[in-house]
Amino acid sequence: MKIVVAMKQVLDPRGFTVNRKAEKIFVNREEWITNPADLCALEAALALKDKLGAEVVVLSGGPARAGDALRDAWARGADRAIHLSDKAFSTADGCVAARILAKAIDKVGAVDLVVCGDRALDTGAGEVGPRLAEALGWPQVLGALDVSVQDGHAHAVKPDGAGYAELEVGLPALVTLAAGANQPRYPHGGRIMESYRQYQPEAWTAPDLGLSEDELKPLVDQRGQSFPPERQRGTLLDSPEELVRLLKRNRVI
Amino acid sequence: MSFADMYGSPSQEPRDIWVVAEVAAGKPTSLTLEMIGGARTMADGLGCYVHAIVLGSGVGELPELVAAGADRVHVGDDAALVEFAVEPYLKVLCDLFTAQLPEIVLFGATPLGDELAPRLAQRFGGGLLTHCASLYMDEIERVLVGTHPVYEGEYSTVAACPQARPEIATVLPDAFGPPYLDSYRMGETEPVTVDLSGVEARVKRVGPVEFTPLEVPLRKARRIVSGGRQAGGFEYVQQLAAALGAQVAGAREAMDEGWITDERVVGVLGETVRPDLYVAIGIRGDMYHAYGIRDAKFVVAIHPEADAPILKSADAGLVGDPAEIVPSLIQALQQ
Repeated sequence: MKIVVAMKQVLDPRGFTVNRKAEKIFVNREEWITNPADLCALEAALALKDKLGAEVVVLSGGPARAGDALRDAWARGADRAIHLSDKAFSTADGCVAARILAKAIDKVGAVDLVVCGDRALDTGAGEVGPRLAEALGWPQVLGALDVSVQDGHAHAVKPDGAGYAELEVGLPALVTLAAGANQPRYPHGGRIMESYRQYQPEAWTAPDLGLSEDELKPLVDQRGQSFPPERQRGTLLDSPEELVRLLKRNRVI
Repeated sequence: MSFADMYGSPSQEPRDIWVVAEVAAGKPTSLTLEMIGGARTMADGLGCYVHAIVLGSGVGELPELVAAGADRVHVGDDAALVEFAVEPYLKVLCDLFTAQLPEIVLFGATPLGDELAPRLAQRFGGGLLTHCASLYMDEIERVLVGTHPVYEGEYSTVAACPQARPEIATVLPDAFGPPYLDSYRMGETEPVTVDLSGVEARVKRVGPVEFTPLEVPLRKARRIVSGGRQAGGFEYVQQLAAALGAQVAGAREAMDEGWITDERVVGVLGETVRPDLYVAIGIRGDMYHAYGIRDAKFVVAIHPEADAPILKSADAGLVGDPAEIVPSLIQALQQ
């Protein structure tokens, strides 16, 4: 079995503070970490590898720093790490990212399962997973807490109301894992050293994947930032329904 | 003569605003009505029509959709659409949108929108504005501009998809404000031809399953429901925690009552927590407790006394007896 894990790096939110009044972001310590949900996806893939024996291939785009995330993934137990590195990838939006990953997964070949985080810590969009499933023409399970494989089918556990439900999907399929779904393992210290001394992630560029310039043109146009008003405290609500709306609006639930 | 006759034949020129409606308990959800109301305002500015799409099985009359501003309600009624599944829903929407390319498609930022909108955007090669906290039409450029919270709402980014047609967005509650419901508004309902040959849901629901999620220590928990002396009994705390998938904790008084053990106490002498959501039921909120929750992202307080200090420091407060508020809150959560 071959499992692909798609990863991305995000800026560690502990390293910056947002001043809503001044409408500025102060970066005190610029540290890039692997997206927590993607780490859970990697752990799920490695658990499947331990149980069933699988080849785990990690894909990540981004500048040179993405190499750290890939080395970290390799040190944790992945078999192959591939850096999708091309200057043309740097402007990618969700649509282009899904296209790049789909081409890379085609190139890896004979992939049974793709896992990734259900949403990135920074954008929180959760769009690349389903977009990638669409680009591959595969079914999707979003926000799973656990995934197992049995007789050519993936079984995923998802929250369902107050309880949990099991979903079954035929392979190949794409499963996204929620952050906090599992406890990612720690890499062995010696393997971290090895990952920098002896290991070099593979690098694939746009021509390697057969992607033209047109396909890499982003559609989403970023038009700056906006800052929510400072936290309002002491708001009294009239009804529980109003509270539920407020929680949904703030994406707390 | 209906407005569709004036249109003539469907064209590939992208036009009109389409809203994918969601129905709960035979009524459109409030988010759906808000989106239609917002779409109405945008459509009036652009001079185009608002379409609502309802998919399901045994869909009844939905006059609210027209009252909120839809010019035409497309109803896709088929036994295969009774439960939401990606493939059939996507097929129906794609058929509809291939026949007439929309200018704008709005989804709610709900599980349905999260599953469908990105796939639809990828299929049409289009861009997507996800989880828009506010959305407006730039009428000079004729472009939809959305504000999207990042880093869990620390700040927002503003984005648009000027080249993409359709422009697709998923919308959070309150992005548009409440719709103006006019029961005299005219609109038409039209059935959608549902052709699901060769399409079936590829993800099957096996059934409910026993599952123990990862044990997380209290200080790392993402949601906490906490009780104090005036919770009126600890069962309300436990019920709400179960409904939210949250951990149970308490103030010191809850330990004195024997409801929790000492490792579940939040405050100076217990744990310091930083959850995304902290619900305090019947906790007055002295400074010892306030210290323990100072890093919580969103604090909700439910307390019978209006002068409780926690109501002043909480992000949202409800004054009343927890015995009444908690059950109705659980009911509101389940809708």
